[in-house]
Amino acid sequence: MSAVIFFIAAIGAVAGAIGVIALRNPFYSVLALVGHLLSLAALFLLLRAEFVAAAQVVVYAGAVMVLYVFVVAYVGDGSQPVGRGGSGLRVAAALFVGALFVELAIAMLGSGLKAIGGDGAPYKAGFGQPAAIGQALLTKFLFPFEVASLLLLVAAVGAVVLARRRRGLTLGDEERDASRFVTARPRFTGTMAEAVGLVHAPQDQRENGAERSAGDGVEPPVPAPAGVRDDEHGGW
Amino acid sequence: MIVVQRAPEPGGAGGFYRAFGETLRGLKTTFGRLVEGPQTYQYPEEKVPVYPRFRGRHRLHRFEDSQLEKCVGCSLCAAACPADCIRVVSAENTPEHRVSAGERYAAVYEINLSRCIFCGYCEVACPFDAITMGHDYEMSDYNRSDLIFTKEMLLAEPLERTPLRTESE
Amino acid sequence: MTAVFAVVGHAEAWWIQIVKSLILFIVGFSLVPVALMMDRKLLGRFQGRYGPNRVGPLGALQPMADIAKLISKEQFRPRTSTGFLFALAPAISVLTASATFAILPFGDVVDIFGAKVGLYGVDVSIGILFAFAFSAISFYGLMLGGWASGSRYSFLGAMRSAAQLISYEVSMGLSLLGVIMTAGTLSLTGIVNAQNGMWYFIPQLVGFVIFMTAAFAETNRPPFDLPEADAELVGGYNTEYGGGRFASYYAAEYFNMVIASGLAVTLFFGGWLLPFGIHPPHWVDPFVVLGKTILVMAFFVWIRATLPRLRYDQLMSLGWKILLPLATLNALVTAIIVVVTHS
Repeated sequence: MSAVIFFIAAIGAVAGAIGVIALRNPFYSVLALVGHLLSLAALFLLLRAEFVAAAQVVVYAGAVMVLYVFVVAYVGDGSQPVGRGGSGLRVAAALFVGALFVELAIAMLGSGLKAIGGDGAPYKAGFGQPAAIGQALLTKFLFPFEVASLLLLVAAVGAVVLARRRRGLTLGDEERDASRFVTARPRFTGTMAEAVGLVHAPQDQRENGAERSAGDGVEPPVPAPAGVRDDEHGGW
Repeated sequence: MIVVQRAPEPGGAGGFYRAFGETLRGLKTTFGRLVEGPQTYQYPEEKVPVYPRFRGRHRLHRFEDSQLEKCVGCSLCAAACPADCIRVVSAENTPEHRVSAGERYAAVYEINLSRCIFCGYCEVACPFDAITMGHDYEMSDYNRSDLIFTKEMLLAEPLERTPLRTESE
Repeated sequence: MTAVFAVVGHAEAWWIQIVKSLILFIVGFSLVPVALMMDRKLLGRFQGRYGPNRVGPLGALQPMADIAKLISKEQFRPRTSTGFLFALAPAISVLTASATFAILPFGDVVDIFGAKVGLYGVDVSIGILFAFAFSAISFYGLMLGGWASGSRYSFLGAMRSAAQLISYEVSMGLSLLGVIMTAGTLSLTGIVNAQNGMWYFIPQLVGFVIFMTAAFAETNRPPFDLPEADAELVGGYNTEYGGGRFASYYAAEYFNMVIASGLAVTLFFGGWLLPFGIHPPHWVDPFVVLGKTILVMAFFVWIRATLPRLRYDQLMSLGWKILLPLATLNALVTAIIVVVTHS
């Protein structure tokens, strides 16, 4: 039973990992990564590391990948080809892959192969349960734990600093922003401000105003009365 | 000078308290409706009574004593109808075949109820009170052609009486 | 046979587990029409009307009629949709909802004809984290459905649901820290047993309010039903769905409401425990839990009848600026109190 689950999850993990780099559509790549992470969570379950499995799903599949999905769904729809890096980047990538392969091969040959024949580490009661993990994190690994949380705090503060407005939005700004939406409308075409006599057309305007507005439809410059700002009687 | 009375700024402990209090007030209001019980009519079983002047489906009338039709086929109703939904074809009364009290009678009298807007102008236009607006409002049907009411249908008593509102209601 | 989850209480025979999962499946999916019916009938009463009362006695068969209608409808999808994901997404929603139902405890371990049976699906050591894990996956049900529909309404609804889910998941998790610290265990049966004497909604009132608010948001219930804001988004992520797939989404939605109510009962209202020292026989326990769950569900409906829908920015600032700091503060204060009283 556990062997069956192991192979299903292992195949899922490998297939997901291949899918991430092989699929052309970035959205599918992200989904493949989600499948990969879920398969890893299943493998953790088989190792009786339940807390790690749950954390894997909640943090990676549930939070990190959600943001990936967000970005990809909003920005990239696969219609634009993924840019190819320069030749230098390709060489660096090949070198990096080679180094990673060597490292993994050493780890595999050094310890992994030996473990295949054996029974593996014995299962201790309480292993992988939240209590045991908390115990380990707060006693044996207290320093790395605290350093990691400090690192995350720095990252969070940095994100906030980067994302904040360069300067705060004051009330005046909002008014100015709002005034942008005031439509340009020829004056003396019937607002309440004109009706109640707040805005008066000058004498010379009244004489030829009709033919002008019929001619070009654009309001000739009228000096606004004192106290009434130009954009206050623009009308909404 | 216009003094604008604004609601308190949202946010802060006071805003939270107000929002919470208003939520509780809203909960009380809806719970009151629950206690009150439903206010709805169970329509097909329980019909809403109409007012006496409610304009429902038209009816044609006969004289009580002689059983002659009141309609004389003058087509004034058809002329008055803004929706053009009334069709009248008149014919002469003969001594052997007397249908209405006047000289002529309506050989064909059809109202297309799918066009009628129930304005009641036909009722006003009629010089003999032959057509009136009745109280029936249940007129749905499966075919449009079934909604063309003929003279016989308009003369007949409706199968079900629509309840009338009493004085006190 | 290796159990995938380490069981807290005791190991059960495989056939007991199978029977239990079948029963849970049946009970869970019978609760969905009950929730649906309760939502519609009770909402009607709150609004001074009857609600559905035509199909069957008192309208009790209305959900059956709805389901029969939806399932017998033709399956169709828009030309712009992505077929595979379009079909997969509702299945994810139902799957995650029904998987979460497995951890709701309906009673402690009891003797049934000599066999020791726990009245729950599984009692995992990670407890409530199990529910969070599946709620994290359920996001993909909504998101993929909205994305694969190839429709802007669906996409916007899915985006809203995504933002809403991850925002409120944080507050929900933090609000439960207080409960977990007070109980000293993550196991849900353990949490219920720890509430003997006092239900946690009294000492953890702040946590309870935050949890309920977040639960409303996570289940997309009003006043947080922005993903399916009818007025602006037609139907949200399920706009393009019809027939059986729409029924799946609909069922998952109400299933989530049942589960959220069940979790609230388990974590804050003492599960199967009764107040005033009443100790009924063990076979009553599941009915106590069901009764309490239905009461909490009635509260969901009550809120739906009362509060108007929030604006999107209000939703976000409520989640991040009010609930999250409040939940953190609650966890901190609880931790201090727990440390002081235990030492």
